[in-house]
Amino acid sequence: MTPVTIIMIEDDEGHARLIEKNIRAAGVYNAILAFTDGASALRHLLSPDGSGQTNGLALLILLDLNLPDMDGGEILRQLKENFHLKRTPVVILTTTDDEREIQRCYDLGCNVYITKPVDYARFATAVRQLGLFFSVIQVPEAA
Amino acid sequence: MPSPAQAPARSATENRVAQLLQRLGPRRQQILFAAGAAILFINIAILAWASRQTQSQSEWARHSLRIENRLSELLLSVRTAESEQRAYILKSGNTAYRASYLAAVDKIPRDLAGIRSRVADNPAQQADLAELEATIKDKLEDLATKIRILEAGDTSAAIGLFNPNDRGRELMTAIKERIRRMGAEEEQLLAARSANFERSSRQLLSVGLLDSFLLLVLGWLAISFSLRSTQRLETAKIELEAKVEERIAELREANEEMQSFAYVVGHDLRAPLVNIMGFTSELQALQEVIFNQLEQGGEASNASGFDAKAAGAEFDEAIGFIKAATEKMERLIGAILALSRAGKRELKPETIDMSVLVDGVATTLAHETQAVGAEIEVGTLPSITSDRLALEQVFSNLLDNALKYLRPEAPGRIQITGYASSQRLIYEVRDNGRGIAEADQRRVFELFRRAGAQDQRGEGIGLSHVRALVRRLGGTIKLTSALNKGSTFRVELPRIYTDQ
Repeated sequence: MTPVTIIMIEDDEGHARLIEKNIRAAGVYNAILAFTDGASALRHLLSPDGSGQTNGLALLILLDLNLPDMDGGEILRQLKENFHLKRTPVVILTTTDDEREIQRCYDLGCNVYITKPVDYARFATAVRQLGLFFSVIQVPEAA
Repeated sequence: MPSPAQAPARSATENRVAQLLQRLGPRRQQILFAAGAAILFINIAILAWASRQTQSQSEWARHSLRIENRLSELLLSVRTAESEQRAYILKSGNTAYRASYLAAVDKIPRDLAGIRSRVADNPAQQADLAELEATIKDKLEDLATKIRILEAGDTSAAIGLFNPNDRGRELMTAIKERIRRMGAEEEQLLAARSANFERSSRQLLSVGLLDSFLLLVLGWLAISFSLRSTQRLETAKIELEAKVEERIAELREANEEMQSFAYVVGHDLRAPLVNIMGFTSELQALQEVIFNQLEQGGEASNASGFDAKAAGAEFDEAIGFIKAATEKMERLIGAILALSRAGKRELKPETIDMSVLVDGVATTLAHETQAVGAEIEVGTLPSITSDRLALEQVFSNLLDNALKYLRPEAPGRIQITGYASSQRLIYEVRDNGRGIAEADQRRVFELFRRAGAQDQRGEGIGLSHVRALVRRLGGTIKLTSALNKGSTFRVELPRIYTDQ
């Protein structure tokens, strides 16, 4: 089985570091590829030719909504509309807890929506449990 | 909503009339109506006069006929007197004829009196009548003379008096002639009066017709004017409705922005807090490890798997992130306060030569302009009465952005143009830079939001600040842009700033 690569799209480097620490603390040692803005993440995911062909890689995407250059929802839409990436699990991990925003993301096809708690104990618990979740879920190979 | 352009098409004449009425204005329109009323009044007066004239005309005709009647009656009386006298003489004193003769003679003065009273207004007829009376008197005298001869017993002498050269005959001819003349005179008078009446009637008729026609025209003008005003009212109503709707849309947008502002502030401030709390907790955890190690003597590091170097790196990292997050928070709060201050600052409108103002802004950016090899062209801009500082901030932000987001492959060319459109002034800042994708064109005006490659420093404050300023000045800002072609920011401002 192909090892799953975690794609983390998170503009705040501090958040990225804390997420990584807690995922690792949950015993998840998969490769993590971090992007700090939407455009470069999309460029990578859709591959240079824009087709989204991933050559059989299994991916799991962690996505923040408040990116400096793009709306995270727009990235989600593009991923879910892409023939090769539409089955790739997308976890929204963001500070936004607005009801409409959560609905919109599920409408667009996100798989899990998690709000980043400001309280670190809860933040750590949430991300570690997400890590545990990562260690048990089946991720389909990208087409 | 139907626009005035969709109103039913009207003929060119009607349009011209409507334009004419519009030019007339309400004051002259009143005059127009007054003229209509005056004409109507004149028409009524003409009608009244004409009916009175007809009445008096028929009275005059009756009067003339009456005189003619009396004249013929008079002639009949004279003739009766003559023939009865003749029969009395010829029948040698038959008293029945004498009575008839006397009755006729008796009636003559009454006939004359009747005529006299009716020609009192006419001196010529009066003169004729006087002569007629004299002649009749002579005639009656002549008749009476013969009767006297008869009654004196001389019948043959009385009969002998009837001969072709009889004076009585002559007198009778004169009487007939004069009565005929008087009748003819009366006829002529009647004819003249009729002709006169007919002429004035005809004239009145033409005046009346002309009047009525004018009245018709005025009425038509009035009706088309009232139609026109109704239409104008309708148009005004539609315009007002559109304005109200526009205002509601503006308020709704402002309200949405307010909500989104509160939302953005809440969430964007929370993000650095997550870092501060997270790394503080990490530091706490690290502290326990370090203090445990110190208690154990610090030397046997390898035995417990403690890596002082790694711990130091982690410590530095956490401190670094906490500091960065604090600074970020400070910047965000500073930006929010700056926006709030800008919103509160009292605006001082003054007349500003915009070409000079934008030139000044361009000069302060000369260093940056040179560094990126760009060129700023300031066109002739219309002057405005508004707040100087706010305008400087607007154009300095727009020019700064234009310089920041150029394309490396195309030499930067930034143009500022402007023109006036009725009560609004329009200024455009056009660049040939990297442009903004359509999906991001709203977003760039939002606080702390940016678009495109993040290769320039910035917090996403400039354009939201610009929009807030333009709004305060009573204007709007619009963006048209195409990726890799360039952007145009169109600032529309009132010619004169008024505090609302």
